[in-house]
Amino acid sequence: MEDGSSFVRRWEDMDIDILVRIFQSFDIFELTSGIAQVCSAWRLAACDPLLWKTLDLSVLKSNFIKIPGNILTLIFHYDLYVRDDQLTYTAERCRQLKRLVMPAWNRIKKTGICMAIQMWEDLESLTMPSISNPPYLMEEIAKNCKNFAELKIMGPCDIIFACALVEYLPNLKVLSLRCSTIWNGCSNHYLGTLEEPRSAKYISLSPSRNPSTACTKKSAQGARRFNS
Amino acid sequence: MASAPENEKNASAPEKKTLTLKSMINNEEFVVDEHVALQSVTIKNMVDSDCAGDVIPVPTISGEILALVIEYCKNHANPSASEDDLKKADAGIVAKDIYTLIDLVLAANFLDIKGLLEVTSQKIADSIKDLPHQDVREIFGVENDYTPEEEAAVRAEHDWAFEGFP
Repeated sequence: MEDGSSFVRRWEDMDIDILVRIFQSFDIFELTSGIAQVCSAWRLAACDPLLWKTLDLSVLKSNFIKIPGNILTLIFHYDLYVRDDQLTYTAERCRQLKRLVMPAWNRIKKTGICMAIQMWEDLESLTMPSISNPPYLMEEIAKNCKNFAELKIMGPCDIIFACALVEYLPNLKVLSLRCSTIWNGCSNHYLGTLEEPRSAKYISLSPSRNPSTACTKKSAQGARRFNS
Repeated sequence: MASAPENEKNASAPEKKTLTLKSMINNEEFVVDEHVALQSVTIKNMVDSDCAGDVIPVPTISGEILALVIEYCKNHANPSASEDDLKKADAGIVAKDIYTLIDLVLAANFLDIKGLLEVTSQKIADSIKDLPHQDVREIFGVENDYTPEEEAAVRAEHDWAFEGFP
């Protein structure tokens, strides 16, 4: 009875809802690999919001990501461009987050990241890309995250960034600019204005193209460990 | 299910009620206890709204598949079956080739039997997970409606997922 012709006829009864149900056990890689290439109906099913309601990043190559659960560290893959709604979803489920590594946030808007920061009162450490208008973010962190101590910036660190740090986060324990290009004078600007330079325990600048390492070093003499 | 009549003795209904399900594909008939058949929400709705005659016709489902569905319903209507027993029995029912599974998932969907729909969907998912999309097309009898350009575009859409992973 399994002859080809009757089978094709039955395939037409296989509506999208059943396909979506079948795909429900698929992880992020299985959803994004072959099945969308089968035909347009399968692609539609694979894109169904029901399957993407839970963004399970645990399959990405990281030991840290586990959603849901009371996770403390969340590391996004550097190629993963999280959206606002996904970030909000994640933030709501990781209220105890202490460390966030999110190298790509081109698709995140101001409201999205601010809403997340407001939910992360325990946040201590952030790895972020360089953004064009950093003051609002630094202000939001200063307002909400009492224990915030570590910041790593990936991308150019300009004078606006440095000023924002000085204004809102003058007491960082660790500032890492290892993956940054620092504009001349920026690090001096930050370090020079620290009222209590000893509070910065570890400042890391090394592989960055930093034209003013020497003077930075001087400014950072108070730091207990200076890695360059 | 030899134990079914004994269970019935304890039931409050004095008379055992049965329903007859008839496959409209090959006219095979199955006489089943009403409480077994009522696990299908579709059949339950028919019975509740007095639409069910002595024989309930089941379109698009063959006798072979209907027998599997009834086996599932009997297992799950048995109050003394342990969770382990049911799991084993479910595994036995879905240990079929992919073509039978597709018929079964359609039947479970049509008859609205949630548990059967779940185990069958899971089994199909496990079977197609690691197959290349060309094989999936062949097995499901799906016609590729993409133009070569569209197919390349869909592939490019997901290329990032493979980057850096073996």
